[in-house]
Amino acid sequence: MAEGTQIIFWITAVLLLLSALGVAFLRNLFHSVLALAAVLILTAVLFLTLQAEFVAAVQILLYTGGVITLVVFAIMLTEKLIGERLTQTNRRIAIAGTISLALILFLVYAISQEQFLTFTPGFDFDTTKEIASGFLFEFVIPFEALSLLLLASLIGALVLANEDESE
Amino acid sequence: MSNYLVISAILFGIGTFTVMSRRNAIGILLGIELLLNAVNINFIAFAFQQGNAVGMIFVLFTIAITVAEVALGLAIVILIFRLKKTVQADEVNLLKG
Repeated sequence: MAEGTQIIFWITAVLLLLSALGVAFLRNLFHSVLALAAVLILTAVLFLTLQAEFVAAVQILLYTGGVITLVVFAIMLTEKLIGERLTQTNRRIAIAGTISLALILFLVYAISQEQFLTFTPGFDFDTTKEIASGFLFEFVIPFEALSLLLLASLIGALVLANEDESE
Repeated sequence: MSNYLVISAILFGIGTFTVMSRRNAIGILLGIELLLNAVNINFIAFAFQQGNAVGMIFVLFTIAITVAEVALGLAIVILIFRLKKTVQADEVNLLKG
């Protein structure tokens, strides 16, 4: 990995973990959502350091554009954006912290023990082209199933959130 | 390579903590986002290491499924808010006998 990429990686990683802690601990729910937006954008930067330009673009468009807007709308509908009700508290911090710390330590131990097969890292082809042909040939059935899922969830969300006038 | 995996593991741990400790249902959904994001980083890291685009295709699938999941989850949260006037996960006990 090139020297510049290393520096970008470490800066991004530190900011990413700080923003993730913000999602977990910030008192104001709206601030939590903003921290999540930071996490998603920084993840897109990590994708760029791994030569995944197309996925980074999708990440910013769909996640940071779509999901964050949805969540902010939901907050707007369920809470007042300014005021007392938006504050949220954590519960069972000791138990949850112990479990997640154990999980992190276990995963890091497993990663440090593993010998990964060494390939020459990086892509020697146009990744966007490869993704497109993957969607159109090898993964065409999952792709169509996904469109069905999106349609179903669209209708489902409409039915669930629709205020029933007849009752 | 293992740097990316460690970052992803820590992100996954923080996400687990968020899911377990948040009282607000929307906060729990944010934690699920963190978990899925950690998985995506792993996929892209392995795709880069092996020079194989299938990992990227899988990430696009998970992103689309996550968007569907968040839309439905938020619809349920809004529905619960309409029924119970609260989104605190502890106070939603409709199934409690």
